[in-house]
Amino acid sequence: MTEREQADAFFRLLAAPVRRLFMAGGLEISSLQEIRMRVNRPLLLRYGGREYGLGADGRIKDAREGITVSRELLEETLSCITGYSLYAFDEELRQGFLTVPGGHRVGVAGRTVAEGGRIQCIRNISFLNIRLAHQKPGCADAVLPYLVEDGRLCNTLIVSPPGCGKTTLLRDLIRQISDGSGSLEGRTVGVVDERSELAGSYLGVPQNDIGMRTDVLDCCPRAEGIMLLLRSMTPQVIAVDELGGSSDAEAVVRAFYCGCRLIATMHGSSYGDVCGQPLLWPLAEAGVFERYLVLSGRPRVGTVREIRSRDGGIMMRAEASCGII
Amino acid sequence: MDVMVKMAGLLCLFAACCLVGFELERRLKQRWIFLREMYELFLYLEQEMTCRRTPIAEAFDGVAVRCTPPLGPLLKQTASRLKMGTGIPFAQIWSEEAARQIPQRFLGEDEYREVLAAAEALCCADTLTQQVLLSKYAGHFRGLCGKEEQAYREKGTLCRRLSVAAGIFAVILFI
Repeated sequence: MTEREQADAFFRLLAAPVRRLFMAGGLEISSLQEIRMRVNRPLLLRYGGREYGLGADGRIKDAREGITVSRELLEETLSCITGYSLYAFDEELRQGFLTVPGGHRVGVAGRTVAEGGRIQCIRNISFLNIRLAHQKPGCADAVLPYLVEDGRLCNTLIVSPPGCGKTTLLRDLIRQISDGSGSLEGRTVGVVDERSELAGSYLGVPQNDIGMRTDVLDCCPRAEGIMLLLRSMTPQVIAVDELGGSSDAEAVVRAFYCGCRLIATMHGSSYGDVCGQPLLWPLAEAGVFERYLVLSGRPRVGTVREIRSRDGGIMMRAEASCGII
Repeated sequence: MDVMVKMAGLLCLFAACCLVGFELERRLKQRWIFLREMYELFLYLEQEMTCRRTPIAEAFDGVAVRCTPPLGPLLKQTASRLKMGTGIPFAQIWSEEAARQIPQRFLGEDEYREVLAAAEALCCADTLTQQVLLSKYAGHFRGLCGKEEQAYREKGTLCRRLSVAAGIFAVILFI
């Protein structure tokens, strides 16, 4: 898809008034990361890594000079995004987001209706955060050779603070492992995509290119998803994003003992930081991960700070960028 | 020869009278079926909301093949325009397609207004309110459908019989 086609496909999701502004302004879709709409507040964009307001002429301006978002405009935008079928996204709305064609994610906030401590739905939606999905094919080229040993994929944990590109990197790793790359033959990959960020599935169909041998469990809790994949899809590799709880760790250990290769991500700022986390102790004890890949946001998003082996030995240390942004 | 021409003419007169009555009955039936299908559409959408959660364009496509004109084409064209993603509000698309697909004088003024107002339920931005509105409009159309069915059963048979009687009378008159 060319950039023009990508832009057209994305703008078709927006309400007509907002669409007209974007088209008049001629912004580059590849640099547009986020659109924030809040009722009675300026419409804000994250463009090229910085925050701007969207002016009445469609051009980017200072944040305070953005057009004011009315309730009608926000509701119409939400209706357009969901194809006038908000009910079809009920389950996702309970989790505070929905995924739309193209793999873009729309975070929502408003008044929640809770029952028994569980969110039933979100009403009076007054805040939208539209995060554009940008695939970066090839961003894993520089790191994949470090994750392969004797033609075998090593179990890898990607460690990164939020917003530093770990999901983008994981997505490209999945694609390359699935399709095959260099000395690595294509493998069957099972993905547990709890928040629809990796595959960006819409109605069960991945919107991102994650490889021809990849199966996706969309909106599935990680621990259950791993066991389901093991039982039914015979994956050679399992990929999960953002390991968090003890149940995730248990499921990963079980997958490891089943002979599956594993690629996962985890929040953390350094190798030492994650080693100190109780979540990792059972994984370290079982010797699950053979590679630790640490990302950083400086000097830019997607910077690979270091790659370590199972025993913590440094295999690569450099401020090499994956070219994510 | 004259007799034959006369017979042919009387036959045409009789057929024309009967056809008028049958056509009136057919229109009453068509209106009844349209309103019944509108009622079933809202029941179906209520189920879609709670069970399968199919987006509205796909739901319309699925229902359109089972509906008779003009509702079938109305749903199909609305679904098609929604999928194009033109950014035009749903209510506008619905009213434009209703104007295009529903022939003039097919429905009474009140019924036509109900069909246009149904857009409020179909595109509501709040799921809880949408459920309530879908129930409400299902009730409205059930009521209208009931009235139309009664009208069809009473007037349809009467129209048919009157037209046949008129045809026979006309034939006798000209004999």
